[in-house]
Amino acid sequence: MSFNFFLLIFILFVLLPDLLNRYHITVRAVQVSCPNIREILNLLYGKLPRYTYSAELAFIISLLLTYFAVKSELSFASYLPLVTFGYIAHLNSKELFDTPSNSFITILSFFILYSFFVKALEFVFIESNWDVVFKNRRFIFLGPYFINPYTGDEIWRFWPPFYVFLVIFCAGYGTLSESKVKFLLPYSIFCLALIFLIGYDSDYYSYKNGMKISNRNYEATESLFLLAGALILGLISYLLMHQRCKILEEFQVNYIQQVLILSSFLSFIGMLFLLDPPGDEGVKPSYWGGFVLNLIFAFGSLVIGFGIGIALAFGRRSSLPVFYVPSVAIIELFRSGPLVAWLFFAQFLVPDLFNPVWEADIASRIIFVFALFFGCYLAEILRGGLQTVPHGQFEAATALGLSPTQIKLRIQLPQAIRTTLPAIVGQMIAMLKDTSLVYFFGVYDAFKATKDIPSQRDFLAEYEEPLVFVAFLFWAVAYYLSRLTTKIEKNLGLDNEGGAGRT
Amino acid sequence: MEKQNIDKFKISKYSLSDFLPYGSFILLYFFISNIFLDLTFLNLTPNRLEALDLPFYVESSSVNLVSDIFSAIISIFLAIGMYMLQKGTLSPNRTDIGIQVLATIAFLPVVSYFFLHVMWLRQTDSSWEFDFSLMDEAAGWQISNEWPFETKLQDPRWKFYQVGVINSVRVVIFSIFFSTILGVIVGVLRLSKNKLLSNLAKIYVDLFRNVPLVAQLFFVSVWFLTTLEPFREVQNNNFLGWFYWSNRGFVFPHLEFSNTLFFFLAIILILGSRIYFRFTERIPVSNQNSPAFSLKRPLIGLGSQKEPIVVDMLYSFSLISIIYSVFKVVSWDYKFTLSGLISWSDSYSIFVFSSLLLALSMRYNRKLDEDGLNKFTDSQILIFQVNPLHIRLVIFILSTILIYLSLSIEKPNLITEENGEELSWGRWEFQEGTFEDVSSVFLVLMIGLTLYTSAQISEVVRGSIQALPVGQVEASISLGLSSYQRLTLVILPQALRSMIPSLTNQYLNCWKNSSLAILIGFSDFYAILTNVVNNAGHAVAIFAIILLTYQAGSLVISTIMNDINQNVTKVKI
Repeated sequence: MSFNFFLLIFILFVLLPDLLNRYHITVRAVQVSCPNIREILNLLYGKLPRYTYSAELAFIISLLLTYFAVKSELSFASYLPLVTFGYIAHLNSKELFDTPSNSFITILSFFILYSFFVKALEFVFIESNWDVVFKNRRFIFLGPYFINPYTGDEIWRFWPPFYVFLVIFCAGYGTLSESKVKFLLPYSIFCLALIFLIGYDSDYYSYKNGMKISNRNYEATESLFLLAGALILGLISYLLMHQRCKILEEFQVNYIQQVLILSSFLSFIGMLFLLDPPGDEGVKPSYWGGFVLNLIFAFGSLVIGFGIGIALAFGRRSSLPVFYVPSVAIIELFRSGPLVAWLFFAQFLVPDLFNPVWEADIASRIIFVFALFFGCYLAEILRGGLQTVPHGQFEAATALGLSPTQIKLRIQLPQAIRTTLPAIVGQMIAMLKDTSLVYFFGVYDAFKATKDIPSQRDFLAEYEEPLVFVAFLFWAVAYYLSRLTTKIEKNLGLDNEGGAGRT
Repeated sequence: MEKQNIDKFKISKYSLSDFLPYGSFILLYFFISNIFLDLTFLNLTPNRLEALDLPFYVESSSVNLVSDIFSAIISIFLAIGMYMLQKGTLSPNRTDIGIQVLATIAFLPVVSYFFLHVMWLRQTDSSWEFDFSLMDEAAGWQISNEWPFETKLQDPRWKFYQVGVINSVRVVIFSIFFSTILGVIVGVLRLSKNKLLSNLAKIYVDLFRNVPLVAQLFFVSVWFLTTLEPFREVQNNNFLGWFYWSNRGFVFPHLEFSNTLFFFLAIILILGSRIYFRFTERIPVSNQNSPAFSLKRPLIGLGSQKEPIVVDMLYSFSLISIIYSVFKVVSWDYKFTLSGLISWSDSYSIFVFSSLLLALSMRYNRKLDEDGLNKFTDSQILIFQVNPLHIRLVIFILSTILIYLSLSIEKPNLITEENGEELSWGRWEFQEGTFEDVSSVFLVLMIGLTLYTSAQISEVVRGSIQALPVGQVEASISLGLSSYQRLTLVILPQALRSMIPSLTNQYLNCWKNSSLAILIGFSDFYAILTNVVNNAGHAVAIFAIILLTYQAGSLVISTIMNDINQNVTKVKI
């Protein structure tokens, strides 16, 4: 519709009054015929009651209306979002339309936003066929091994870790002692999404032949019961922890949080052992796959890399050359090259180097390299944090009679981590995004799955939808983590108090 | 009573739970070191390592026994040492020495294993030979891109590597340039008073910052392939016959300085007049208390009158010779021999020497600026009774005419028929020497890197603007500056001070992220070297080249940025 419409609005109500104002032209007839956009908004909406919308609500309403406009293809429907925009603009007209140039900017940015949303909604709801993602959802999440009819039984190995992680996660939210709605609303959405993903339309039909190809031995009912159990357990753990933490003192809550973090680390290692126990049983890491594998890489590099990073950070700050020289060498070596180069190292050189001691497959080698890479970047971050810990802390701890190890681990490290936590989470996000590189090195991660789906017979050359879906998954997790960073900054009081912000 | 207390204390000091962690640690260490020592001694058996000429050998039958004994000895030594350190009776100096000795001994099995194992690998495995001779051999494949020079099938691999390095540098320079501009714009918009605009910028940042670069590159390449039409439609997709586009890339008209004499005349005119104007307008320095001879100002003996002129002449001379050599240097396949480096007639040597000279003279000039020798009058001094502004105008017009005369532009000529016959579109091509092209993979990588890096840079910009005190903005408002003046004169120059270190980080990330070119088929040096490994092995040597190249690039970027940082933070607030 509407580029011409916008052009008209521009010229009539923004550009023309602006020009007239600038050159002090007072043509009475012209002025009457083209009033300011603010006056027009006032004329149109002035007598309506002023409901105060929050920004989110207005956003959702305009999105819904835009969706309606895109879907229905009626001529009046495409003007509905404009009307809503006009009304919201009227409510905020003091901010959005105070000067001609500002109203110019407002209308321009609305135009960009509107066309972006129209494009996005058209892509999501009209152009694309999400069957390809929905029928391959288990393939994208778990890779080929676990949905194969012959080897799919091994999928039970994911359930105990899922239970444990959900319980720890919910308990962790319980310790924050925020209002219950803040957790329960997103949690219920999360539950519904999971139930929908697992339960609905589980069979795999070929719509070309009209016959059932294979349901890949997948029984939805059993999984649904297991899922319901996990979700209820998570809810119970949240409620219990929430009630408990209301009564407790702050240091006790902190203690519980530390225990939870440690137990999540331990249960991650337990999960790896459950997936691939020593011996012939279990699933070899090279058979793992899908988005879960990306998460395993990210979390594994975090868990192992944290140990490496702390050791390297203290080694680098040590005055003894035995510790100082190797840690500087390792840190600088790993930081000098990109991650792709180190994955090359994992692919070609690590097997030779470790062969008799550790006969690792490619997935374990990649976790190893990821952990070293993350550890080296973490060491540099932590070194910065350790430098900000005042020397008085060290002296006080020495005077109290703590041993050097105790001083490092109990006095200096917690303070360093506190100040650098946002940077650490930022590095975690970078690491999660970097796990998308591994598909190039023969590991079946989510991107490899998106590359292989278009070669299935039913979904030939439909390569956009899986790619968008996987990118959305990465985006969602990374966005959640980055929101977490700002929350942490606020909770710790680390956010900047400078204020040249509004310019 | 007191004695009982002491006894109790002593008993509780040596309980089992104190020993358990140390004991288990020592036991674990024993097993791990046993594995490594086993393999170490295996490498010391006779007829195993040729390079190693030891007076003793370990019999292969007794390897297990020897390693058991050695790891037991080391473990016991470690236990005793840890006990001694734990007791805390040693002086600090001795504690330090003790810790170092213990750490060395503890890591000895691992280090010796890696040392000997690498020797063993170098003896048996060709990929571990640290040998660059394979880079002199013919590569055996070809790459499609033709800038800056074509590669032939017989070319050595070094030449392919050069092409790769130039490609990566090209992409990174362009994307750093564009992403800085875009990032600063988005970062400033993010802080706009207009909520709609700031939300727009926020959506941009959230979108491009949190999606992996790999996915973005895929999206951009899919977008390129679907929106740009295939090569067979290239006849329809042009702009007046000057620009052509298809999904292979963009084609531009060919631009050449055909008449180099005029071109050089123009440049000599500009630079010569620059020297003359600087000479006439420089304010002479009175009562200069001459500082002592220093390395930063080796020409100080010439006096304050002549010294700046000589530096200016040096500057102009080196610029001219750089341009001269660039026009001749295009034979980039230069061999790094010592005699070749010194030969003066060779254009490559001229390029290297004159760029060194340029850097020197720029540094010298900065030093002169600092010492106050380069001060110029604002009033216009008449030259031959003529206003210098007019002379400048004349020189400008003259040099433009000269450059225009030296230029020759050619329209890209699409050949669609041969000897009167129509060719099928697969054989269409542009006539040699009439066009410049930018391949689509280059553009895909550049756009992807630009979007990703600009989102990161905008966060840096926003952070450093927000860190400024509010008083600065309030003061500038009360001075009556407009919002644009406020931004460009007050906020951004101050924010630049805290911005540059984080910007350097993002530029380094951009340089390293260019290695993702391999995913979309652009031949940067990483992609080319991986190909070399797949063809010819020698993974270790190639890996060393990869790391060294990335490190060299990082060093260059951080040196330049450090220099800028020093300049920016020279003035203390």
